[in-house]
Amino acid sequence: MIGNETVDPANTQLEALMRQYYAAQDRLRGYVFSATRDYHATEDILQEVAIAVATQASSFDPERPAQPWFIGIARNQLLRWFREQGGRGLAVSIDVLEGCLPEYAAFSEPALSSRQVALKRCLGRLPGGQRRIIRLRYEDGLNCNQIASRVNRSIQSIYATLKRVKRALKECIEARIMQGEA
Amino acid sequence: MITDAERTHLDALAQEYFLRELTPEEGVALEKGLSSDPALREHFARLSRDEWLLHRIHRVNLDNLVSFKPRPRIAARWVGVAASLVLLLGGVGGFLLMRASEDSPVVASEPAAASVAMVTELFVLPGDAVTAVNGGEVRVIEAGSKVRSGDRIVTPPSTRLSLHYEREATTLRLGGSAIVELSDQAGAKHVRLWKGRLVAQVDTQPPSKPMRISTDDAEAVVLGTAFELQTGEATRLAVTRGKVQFSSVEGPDQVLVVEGGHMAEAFKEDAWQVEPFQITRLRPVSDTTVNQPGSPEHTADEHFIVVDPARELMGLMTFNVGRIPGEIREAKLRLRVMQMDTEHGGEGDVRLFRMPPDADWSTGVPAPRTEISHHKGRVGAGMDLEFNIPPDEIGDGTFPLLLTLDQDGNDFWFSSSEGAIAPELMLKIVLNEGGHDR
Repeated sequence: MIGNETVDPANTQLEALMRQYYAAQDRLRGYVFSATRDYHATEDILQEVAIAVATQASSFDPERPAQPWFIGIARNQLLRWFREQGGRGLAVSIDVLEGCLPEYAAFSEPALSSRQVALKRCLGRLPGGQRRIIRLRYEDGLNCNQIASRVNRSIQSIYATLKRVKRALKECIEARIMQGEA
Repeated sequence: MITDAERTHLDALAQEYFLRELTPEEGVALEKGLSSDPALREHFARLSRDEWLLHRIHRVNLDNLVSFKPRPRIAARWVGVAASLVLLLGGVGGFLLMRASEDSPVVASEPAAASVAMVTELFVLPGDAVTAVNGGEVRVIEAGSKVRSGDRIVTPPSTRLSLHYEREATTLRLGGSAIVELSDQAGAKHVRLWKGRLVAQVDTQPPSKPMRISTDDAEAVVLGTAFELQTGEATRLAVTRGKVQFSSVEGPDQVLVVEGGHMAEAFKEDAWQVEPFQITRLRPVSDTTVNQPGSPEHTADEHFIVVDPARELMGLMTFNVGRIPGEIREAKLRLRVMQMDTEHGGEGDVRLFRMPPDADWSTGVPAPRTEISHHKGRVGAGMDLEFNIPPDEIGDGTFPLLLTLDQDGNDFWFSSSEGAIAPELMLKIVLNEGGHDR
């Protein structure tokens, strides 16, 4: 009824928790992506974490800090994902990656937006051959072996090109941001 | 204390981590460095961010970004989300609506990609949901939903989904258990088929901006045509109209032009195979519900084929395949489910048997019969039940098929030839004459 809306405490708690979750999500994204190095897996895992937070909100003790709970859920989802990958294990332990959580503030807006805009402009300036390799890697999702086969080059040269291009992109982005062009 | 040389080495290792699999020794070295050196942790997190941004920027076209304004209240929306969660998790435990539903208020002011297509037809079993993931957000897709650039669409089993691109007559059809990603790259359409089968009718595209459809091992480039692309051990392309450029990721270094009426497979190591084919769709020459002598009386409704283990009701369909003009490469029987009971949760084991063409039915269901396909799982009204039939089970002439349901399954009612959607036997036949290898 308009003007006589009742407030359900459970909904209020859910809303408060989800606000906290989305405030923490950027750092969680950094944590999960650093572990999986897989863009889609990261999205899927964050989706599962959000599901778990929303469904278990009513049983969460609001006196407890929420962030360790989010991290614990993300950790469980990460371990499940690695189990499903068969032989692929974590190259760096999950505890060490969790230790980087404060640094994953780098994934937060608004700094991310300006970096993204600068990256787009810098990508547009890449020579055709380098742009093609970047597209094969990030647009088509090919690994270095597949790229080497596609462009008929050695895998070592693909590694070298990707490293060189990433370094150039980083310098270009930072120059644009410094000049306020992003 | 880390020396400059060690720092350089660890910085390089951090870069390599996002490029390839490290050796165990390299992993231990990086781990030690991250544990002890705050500067390396910061460097590592920034490398991770830049790598993630490179992925993201290739999935979201920034030219098409639009921003939603923040909404002041979100409580009502989260109540809806929580309700959806309960329903969906109770059903399938995986698919759900989280942040931004197409027509729902949006909580955050994060940008969302522009829409590229609309869902024109959708069938999912009750409790299942088709979801789109984009930039960390998950939406439930419904009939009429917009599909945005960068959306990765996941369909549960038994789904039928049709998409229509905006402002042109390009349609995509997806089946169940498919994962597909749509994006608009400076006006050029890109579809990444991660898994499943996709049938496309592509309107004329600008020559400078052809539509690209890629899979793990192949890429198809089209300017306007009709074709089907299927992932599996190899990517298979079947072109029904027009021309499609087809190239293999790891196979021979060449681009094929596959014309209408031809199919090609991109094997990772073997030579290309391009062959003329035809698709034959057959309706049964007869179909009916049969029961064993002595079982309870069944009053047949000619609109349905009924399978019910309690009453020993089975379906019988007879197709006339005629003379097969080549090698059958793929065969599917499609049955439309019209009604069902739910006392066993809407599930059942439906089995398909090949019967001898000259069998004597006068004393009941004859033996021997050979099981050639099987569906185990959920069934829902409106669903198309598809049976893959081993091609070598099919020969020239009459092809009778018996449909049964195991005990403890629901009784299912399929449309007969007299009903709304007739049974269909689809044969994809590689033709004997005119075929050639590449």
